[in-house]
Amino acid sequence: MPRLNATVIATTLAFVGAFLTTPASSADLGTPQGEIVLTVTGSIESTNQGDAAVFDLEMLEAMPSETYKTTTIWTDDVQVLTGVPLFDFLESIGAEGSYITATAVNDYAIDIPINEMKSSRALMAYHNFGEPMSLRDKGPLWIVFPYDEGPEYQTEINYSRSIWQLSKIEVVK
Amino acid sequence: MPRIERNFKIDGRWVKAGALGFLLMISVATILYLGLSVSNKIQSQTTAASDNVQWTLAQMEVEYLSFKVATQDSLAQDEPDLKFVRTRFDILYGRVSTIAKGKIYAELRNAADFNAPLLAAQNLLDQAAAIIDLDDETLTARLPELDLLAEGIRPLVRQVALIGITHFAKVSDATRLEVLLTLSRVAGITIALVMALIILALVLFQLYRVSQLNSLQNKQTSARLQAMVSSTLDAVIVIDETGRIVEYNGAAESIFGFTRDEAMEQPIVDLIIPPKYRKAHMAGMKRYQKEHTRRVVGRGHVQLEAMRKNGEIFPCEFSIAEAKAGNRQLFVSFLRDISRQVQNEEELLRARDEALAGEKAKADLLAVMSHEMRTPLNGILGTIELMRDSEMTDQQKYLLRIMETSGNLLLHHVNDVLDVSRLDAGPVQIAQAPFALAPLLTELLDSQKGQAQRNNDVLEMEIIGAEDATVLGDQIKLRQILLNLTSNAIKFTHNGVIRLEVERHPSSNEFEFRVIDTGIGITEEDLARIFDDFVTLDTSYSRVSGGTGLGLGIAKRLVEAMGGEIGAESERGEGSLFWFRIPLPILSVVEPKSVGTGKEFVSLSGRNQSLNILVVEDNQINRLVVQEMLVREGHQVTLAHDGLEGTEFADREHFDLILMDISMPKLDGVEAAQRIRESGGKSSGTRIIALTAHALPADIERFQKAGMDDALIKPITRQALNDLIQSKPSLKPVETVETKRPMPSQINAAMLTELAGDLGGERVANLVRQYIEETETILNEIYATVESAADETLIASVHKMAGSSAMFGADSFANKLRWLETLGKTGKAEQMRFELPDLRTIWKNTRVALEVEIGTHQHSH
Repeated sequence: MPRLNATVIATTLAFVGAFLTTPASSADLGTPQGEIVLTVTGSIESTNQGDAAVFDLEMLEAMPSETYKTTTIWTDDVQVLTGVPLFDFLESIGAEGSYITATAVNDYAIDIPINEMKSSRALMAYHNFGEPMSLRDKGPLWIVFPYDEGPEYQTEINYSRSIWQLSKIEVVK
Repeated sequence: MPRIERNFKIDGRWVKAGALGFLLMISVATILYLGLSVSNKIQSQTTAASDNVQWTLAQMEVEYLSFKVATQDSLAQDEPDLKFVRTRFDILYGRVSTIAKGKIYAELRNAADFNAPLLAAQNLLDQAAAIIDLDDETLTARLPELDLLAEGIRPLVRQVALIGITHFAKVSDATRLEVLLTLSRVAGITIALVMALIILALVLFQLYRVSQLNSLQNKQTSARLQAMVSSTLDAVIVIDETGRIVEYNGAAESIFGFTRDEAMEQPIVDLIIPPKYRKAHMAGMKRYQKEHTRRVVGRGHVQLEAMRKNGEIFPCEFSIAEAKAGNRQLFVSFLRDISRQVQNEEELLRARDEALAGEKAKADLLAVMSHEMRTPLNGILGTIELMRDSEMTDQQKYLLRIMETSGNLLLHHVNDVLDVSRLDAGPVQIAQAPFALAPLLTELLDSQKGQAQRNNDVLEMEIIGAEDATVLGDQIKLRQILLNLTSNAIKFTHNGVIRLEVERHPSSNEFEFRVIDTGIGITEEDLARIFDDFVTLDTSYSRVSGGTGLGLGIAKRLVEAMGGEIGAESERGEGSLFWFRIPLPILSVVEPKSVGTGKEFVSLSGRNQSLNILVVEDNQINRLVVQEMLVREGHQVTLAHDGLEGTEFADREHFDLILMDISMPKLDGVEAAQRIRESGGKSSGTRIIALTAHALPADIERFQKAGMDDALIKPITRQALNDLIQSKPSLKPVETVETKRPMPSQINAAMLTELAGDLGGERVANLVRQYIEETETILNEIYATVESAADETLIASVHKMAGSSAMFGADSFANKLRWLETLGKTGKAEQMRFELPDLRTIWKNTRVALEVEIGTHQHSH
């Protein structure tokens, strides 16, 4: 928890957030109605399927979202990517850890420190041009960064963390 | 000052050190900048937009194999896991399309051997996708077809991966090389900078050592200077730019009287600058601070006044130099008390002035005395000439001859002295008039014949090259020179020959005159000084013949005044040669005039007509002389005692000739002549001849204006008188007379004119000024002390003024003074005192008249 935020104020806010979400049970996350697109395991407080929290596309779409208009090195032209800021998402499920291990359908896996998520503005995108993304098209979930906003976002680290076909997240203490 | 220079040097060094420091800072900044840029470069190399492409390409093959395995597994099973097959396909499909579309592969795609298999693989994948997307049943049925397609993709994927990996290996090699290069460059620059730093450190160390050395030298120099300053005899005062004393040495203490403690830190202006100079000093300091213009600083020695502690102001000599001590502007002044020196100078000057004044007074006395002696002397000589014709014994005749000779000699001396003093008094007027040379010389020798015969000498003359020439020059002065030389030659030659030679210089206007004698000659040492004044050579002859020793001096002066030169050669016992050369431009060669043949002095009387002549002359002796001479020539003579009487007689009676003295009381000759001409009386048309002691051209003009026809120069001789009476009028009467009436005669102008003729105008003017000044002083004294002064004192003062007044022609003033003196001496002192104030009025007019006469008077008065 203290590692989640750099500043005391942020910590306090996070604490308040955690306090507010703590009493919520698995029922609060809701139960996925459609196909499960994401399974979160590890050190989390909110679960809805055993020790894991599982989500269908609808559940993610219901969360506060953000949209990046940006080019990427793996596509041509500008993409319009909409999704949940990764940090906010983890916070909403009461994640308490130093990093996550994100795993893709294609078995690609990468570790991302939680305290870097805010500054790097990592986004867990689920829509491109307002449409869900197919597996063939880096869907259904794709962690992206606002690459066009500056060279600080165009780093090798960010590129390696730009995991597509994301399906599993494990929060590690 | 060496000290200041060193200061500047140190300054320069610090500038250098500063520059090095600046360089150092630049070096550090450069290293920092390069380090940062290298770090950035490495960062950019590592974070370049490359992703781990090689992994991606390899992954493509892995994912292909997963798909292939899934398909083959499905073929072997009765109920194939189609979802797994589809997932595997989608992953492969996504991977390949990422490689086909992604920007990071764009460069790679440009290579044909990469792009062709990629497009082929995509094509096959699209065909496979069409099958995959069918329903489960159809897919199951067509699984073998799918497997076949997958089999076809295999080599394509392989090829793509291989080419891609090779390409990116090359790219990273190049990148590594570039980084290496950059790093080597940085290393090189770093080495260079470190070297520069080392050099800088060395230079700084060197500078430090030099400055240490300088500081030591400075200390030594400073100590030396301090010793010099404190031991110097001059006061040394150093002030800063605000004028406060910052250094004050021992000599300053003794000169100014302030101790060092009293003086330090005090404003110099209040201490040693006399109050009257303070304002100027402050202005000077202000000006210097404002404009940096120097009037005194650095100008070497200046003389001014300074003040001591006791208020005494004394002259001092000082010099100021400026110096810089750090940021402070200092003025170093060296002062020297020169009061004693100045005092000595003043005394010396005073002594010189007094000596000069004494010299001048002596010269003036000599001149005035000579002049005063001439009038009575003329009287004596005239009387002697008259006596010669009366009945006398032989003894008496002999004595008379001695008297005449002595008188003439005396007159000659007096004239000599006057000549010298006139020639010395100022620029000599040289006339430029035409005259014939030969007659002049003939006449001159004729006049010396008598003397030559007495010495048994023969006179010879030769004119070479210009026998008949008429030349332009000053006849009178030339005659005087020749006369002096010739008479001198005769004086020292007995039983010999005196030869006069004149030779014209063939190519110039100059004539050389030579007077050669066969006399006793002159020794070599005497030859060097014969042209000096008052040189009479110690010979038997000189005693006999006498002489002032001025003759040659006068000749020399005259020759030089004419722009010529004079010299002498001699052989002891053989004779002497005196020569002089003067410029005499030749006008023409004319027939010699009859004058040159010589005159018969006595024969004139026979040709005389008896004339009725009026003689106006106030001097009894002169009157007598002239009357006697005229009567002897058979003329009828009427005598008038002054100008007034003269005009009365001229009005009443017709005269054939009027001889008019110029300087007379009541009415002078000029005025009288004018009145006669204007009166329309019986003699208003008669020839009037002025009798004057001296006739300057200006006088002649004045006489002419007054209506006079000619002038006779005193002393009057029978010969001259007869000549004049015989001759036709030489001055034409002026038709219209237009002269201003002179002021009521306070002064006797002729007296001054005469004086000026003898002594020179400038000298007379000076004498008159002096006389005016003296008279003013005495008058003031009289009026200031008249109440308390004794009668004798007043009489003495009056007497003193009377003598000089008569001399300068202040006649009415002099008459009044004589009258007062007479009153005082005849026991009528009361009357004298009573009439004393009259002097003031008379003097006022006299003074104005005198000033007009000498040309200093302003007409506004």
